[in-house]
Amino acid sequence: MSTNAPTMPVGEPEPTAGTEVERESPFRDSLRALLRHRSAMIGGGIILFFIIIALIAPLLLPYGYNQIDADARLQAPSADHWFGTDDFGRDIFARVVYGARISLWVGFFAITGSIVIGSLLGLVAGYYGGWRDTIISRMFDILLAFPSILLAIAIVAMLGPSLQNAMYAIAIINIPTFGRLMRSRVLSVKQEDYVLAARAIGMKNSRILLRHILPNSWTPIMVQGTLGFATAVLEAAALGFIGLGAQPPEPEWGKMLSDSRGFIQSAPWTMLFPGLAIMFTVLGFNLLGDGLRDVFDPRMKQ
Amino acid sequence: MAEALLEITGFKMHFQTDKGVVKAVDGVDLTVSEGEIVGLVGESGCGKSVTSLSVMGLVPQPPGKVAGGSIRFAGKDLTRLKGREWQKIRGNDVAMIFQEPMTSLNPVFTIGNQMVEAIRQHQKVNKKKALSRARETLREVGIFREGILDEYPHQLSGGMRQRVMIAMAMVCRPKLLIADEPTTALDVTIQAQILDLMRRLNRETGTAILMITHDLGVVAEMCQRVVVMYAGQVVEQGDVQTLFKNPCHPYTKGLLKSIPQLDKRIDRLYSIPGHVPNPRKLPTGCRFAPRCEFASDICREQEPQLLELGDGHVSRCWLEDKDGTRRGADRDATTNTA
Repeated sequence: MSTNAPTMPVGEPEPTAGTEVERESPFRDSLRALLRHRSAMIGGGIILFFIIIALIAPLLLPYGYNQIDADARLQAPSADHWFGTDDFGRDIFARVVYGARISLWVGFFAITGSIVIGSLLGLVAGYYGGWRDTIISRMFDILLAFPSILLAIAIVAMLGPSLQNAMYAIAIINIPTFGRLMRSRVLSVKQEDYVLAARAIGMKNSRILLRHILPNSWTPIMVQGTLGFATAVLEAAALGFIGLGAQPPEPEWGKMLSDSRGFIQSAPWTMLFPGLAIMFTVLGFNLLGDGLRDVFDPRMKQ
Repeated sequence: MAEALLEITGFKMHFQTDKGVVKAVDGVDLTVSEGEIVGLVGESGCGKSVTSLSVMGLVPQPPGKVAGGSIRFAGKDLTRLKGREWQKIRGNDVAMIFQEPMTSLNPVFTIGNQMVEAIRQHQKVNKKKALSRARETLREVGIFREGILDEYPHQLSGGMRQRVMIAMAMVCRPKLLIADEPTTALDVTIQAQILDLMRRLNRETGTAILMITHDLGVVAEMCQRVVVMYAGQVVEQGDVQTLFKNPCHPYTKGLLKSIPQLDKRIDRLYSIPGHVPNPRKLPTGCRFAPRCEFASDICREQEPQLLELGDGHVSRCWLEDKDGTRRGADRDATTNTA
């Protein structure tokens, strides 16, 4: 492997001739497999595209997302307005691009929140068991007993409609998914010999959890997190659509859909482009998530 | 005679289950002196591993429960230790290596990473110092090569991983090393190398070894004394020479007879009839009686005590109590000495 050559000590002959020492971590192995995975790369490409346009949005656009032009209402896509304009004469392209910021932002923070809280609870429940497990698992059961979007609506209704509260709601409803996943992984990983060996050298519980159990349990979380990102984007759009998420004039995709409901026949572009944006984002995360699952699932390895 | 390092007396570890109490270890007496190699043998399920895990305090409680007896290590009663105190002893004074080298290392960290971890667990040294200690110890166990510290466990063979485990166990120079079937998962040539290594470490560092195995060949090769366990109890104990030449307990005899021999051709390999009894439903009287060809009425009715046969050789069998006179005497003796 020529890529490893620089890390080899110069002038030291390899004692085991023939068997070249590879300094490959399992993680890097997986990364390479992922790069070979076609649909994961397509998904990754889509996500990367959205991330980039979200980052450089202001540089890209001649119009602001809330720049109202009463003379140019509901115009069809043209060279001036690539995606046309909405009923306030706002440039839909600008709004969709800014919308990417909102959707990715909500998805990222909501899912990160659920992963952190869910994983911590799952770790504790799985590792310590007993009454801690009972309390945490029943809590998950209660959360899962409600249809998730209904629960999200209830939470937002309680906190008051805003983008931030929608994000909290999405984070809360996704906690049990990650918590249960982590708990089940921990239950099996804690039986591993290296955990026993770690205890046998006198390691304390918290360190075993962080050093041995967590790193060996987090791959399904990563897969679920990527798939969950797609769900979070959809949920944010759904909450936006029913007016509980982003508030005007924020260019949230779901909100844009519901605002242009009345023009679906006369000006279909007002719905088409935000809809496509939602679809592609969700598709991107789903493809990437499926790819990650394939790569990390040992049964899929050749 | 060297001082007793580990002294287990009348130790009982029971497990509380929904279906009743499992008496996994039910009366084990065993001593390991400083610098000694002691073999602990018995069939699967006779309580060897639970005994060794109890010494490390690694039996989860509950469901496990110390139902009696004590484990004294260097004067301290280990059965009374709490979490913190355990962490100081594990890996530092008593270390352990396991049967499965393939799964005993964490797959996501490098060898160096895990060795440094083990070293810094008990020694206050910086990372650089710990790395050089790791290098040194790996050299001691004979697998050091440039770059091995950056390798992951899956890049090493089973034998090398077991050496890494031994290196990690030996790095703090424990007084006692518990080896739970350290060679069972390895092929024969590697077995010999690992046993050699352990013997050398024993000689050079004076670390006592409690060797848990079901391979009597390993015991004959390595150990000075042997403890034979059956159904959670010690049934015979003595130095290797005496025990192999003159086994007293029918179970030990059976075990010795079950070894295939290279120089003799026999049609049928001997095996002890029946199975190890279910630890939930132990037979009354001698636990081995249902499988014993010499069993008589008394064996099925009364539990035999450990009888001293001279020179530290003890056996738990009514046969040694030939005329029945020692039955009472033994009981007096145990109560008197206790």
